[in-house]
Amino acid sequence: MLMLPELMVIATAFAVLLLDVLVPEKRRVVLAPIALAGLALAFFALLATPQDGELLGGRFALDVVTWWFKLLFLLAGFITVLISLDLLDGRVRVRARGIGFRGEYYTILLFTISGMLYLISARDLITLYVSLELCTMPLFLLAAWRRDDLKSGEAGLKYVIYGAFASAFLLYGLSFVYGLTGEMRLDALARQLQGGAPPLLWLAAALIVAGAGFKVTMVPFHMWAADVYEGAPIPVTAYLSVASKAAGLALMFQMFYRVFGPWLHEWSDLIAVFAAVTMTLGNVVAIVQNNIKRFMAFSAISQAGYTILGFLGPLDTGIPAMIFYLLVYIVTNLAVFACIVWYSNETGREQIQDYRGLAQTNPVIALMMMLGLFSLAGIPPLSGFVGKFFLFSVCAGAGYHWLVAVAAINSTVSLYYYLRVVRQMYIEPPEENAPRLTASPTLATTMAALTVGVVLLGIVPVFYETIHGQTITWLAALAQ
Amino acid sequence: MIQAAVYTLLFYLFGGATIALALVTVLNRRMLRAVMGLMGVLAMSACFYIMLSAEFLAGVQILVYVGGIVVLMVFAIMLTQTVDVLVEVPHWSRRALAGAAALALLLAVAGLGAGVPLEAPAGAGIPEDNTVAIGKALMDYGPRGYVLPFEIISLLLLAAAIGGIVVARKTAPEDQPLTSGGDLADEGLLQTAHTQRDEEAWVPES
Repeated sequence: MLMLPELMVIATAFAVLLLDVLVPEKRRVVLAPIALAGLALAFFALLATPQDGELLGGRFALDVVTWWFKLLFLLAGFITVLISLDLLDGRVRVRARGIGFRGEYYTILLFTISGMLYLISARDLITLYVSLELCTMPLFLLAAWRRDDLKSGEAGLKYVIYGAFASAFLLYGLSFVYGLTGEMRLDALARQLQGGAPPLLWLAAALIVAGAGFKVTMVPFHMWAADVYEGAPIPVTAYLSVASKAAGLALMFQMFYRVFGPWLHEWSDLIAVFAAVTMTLGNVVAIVQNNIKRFMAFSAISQAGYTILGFLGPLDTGIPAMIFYLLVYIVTNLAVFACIVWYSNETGREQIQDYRGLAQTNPVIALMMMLGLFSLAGIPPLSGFVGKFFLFSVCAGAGYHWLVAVAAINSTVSLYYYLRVVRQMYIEPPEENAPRLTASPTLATTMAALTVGVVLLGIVPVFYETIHGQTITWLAALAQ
Repeated sequence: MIQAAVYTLLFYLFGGATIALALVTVLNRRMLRAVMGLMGVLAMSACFYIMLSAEFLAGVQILVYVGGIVVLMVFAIMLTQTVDVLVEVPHWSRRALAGAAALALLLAVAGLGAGVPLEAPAGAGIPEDNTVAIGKALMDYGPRGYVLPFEIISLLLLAAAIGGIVVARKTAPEDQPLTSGGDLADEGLLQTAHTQRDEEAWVPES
């Protein structure tokens, strides 16, 4: 019962794979709805799952934080399928380049989602590492999915090489942790280390942070992001920008809170420096980007800088702030990406100047994209503002006032470059005879629903309050 | 006494060989030689496993890494003639930087690792028939078992195989209208017959 969501996702993956063989090409449009239905079922199964319990002798466990992470993963996967299906089914105006193999695409996507679900439920080092690979290694292939496209191939290759390197660091660090304690189980590890941490543990922690930082696109482990984001098919880029980040954050969460918990406050200074450097570099480099995918890559890097602020604070404020920000980030970033996917499907263009005059040809979609971008910049009352507010208050509560100042300045800088896109859409005139573009029902609904989410998460406090309340109850139960 | 001495001697022999072969792998500019170095490193690790009386691991190491992966690499190198020699030599400053970084990591590991007592944890002895023990642990769903990561790996391999086939396929199958020739077709590099078939089949489904 506890593993039901995972099993449903995997079963759906196999169903899609088998149907892909059995159904003739023309009828393969059914694959995406099946994937969606499977994810929705997994979602409802998760809602029915108790937020506490363990399986397989404690190697697979659920608690409040795990449960919320799973909810986010399923949400991200569901939206990704929604924004992929027009492109993969060929309902595009401009011919897609070398993209196809729907069945395999959805199968792999579902496998990576199941990997993320296992990652956050894992309670020993091996399962942790293996499920991290399950959710990131197939992404290398998805990045190279536009076959025959040189940039996509480059993206896949760069991602593989950097990814293997980062994995090696992570594994090296994990092997030190195992060597020092002789334990695989996270709880047993934490107990063993309570006696005192040898200096080698610091090195292990540094290596693990390097491996996880690669997934989160933390500076200086961010080098892959721009090229991979640019080369990958846009729905994959959207998925990468939220999934890779969520997975890395889940890994950091598992290691930082469950194993290195007692020393986390000693590393606060380092985390603060990492956060400051990450958000600053992401923002500064984003200013000069012209390709919208590269632009979103650096925007995502700076958002990663904000997210890790949550590790500075105590558990009862840090965890809810991070989970809530991740929720906001997934909804907002995918809202913007849905618009980008739509525009690319209709015109095949992805430069920022290409968006000029969009407000005149398609005012509603331009408005939705603007709301998404403003939420990423953190303008009240949109959800991005609320998310950042909680993270900044965690940061201030931990005494890092300089970091709050840096983050606030960065938010202002980011507003400048998000406004660059808005300026193209609203102030620049459209090209002559630019036609009014149409949106397919799926994408239009997705964009609208996500935009509503962007606004609602900002003005309805119930989401944050629920996460916060449940986390506090859970921590209180743990302390007893 | 003599047994212990031989054991120590063998350890240093294999250790030295591993380091030398690893250097060959990293520093050699010829791909095939680098792969041979890698094969040596992997074989040496198998020797270490045997010295630790983990025969099963040693066998797997030889079968999977030396016999499988290295052979695959050799195939890949043989089939792509142009990459036999890595022509491009990085600038000396980058090489110096890489060397310094590697040295720093080595010193950090050596320095921090020196103070760690290297004792086997209590109860971590090797079972007599460790092959059976490994097999049981892989299938055991209790607290000491590893059935979950084992199954997750099988999913990972399946996903990797499917994706690898898709990405590596030269052309799309007959009934695959959505895959175009991409950049190559635009530059007229693919045969017209191939692209023509794509064009004909290019009917958006509504």
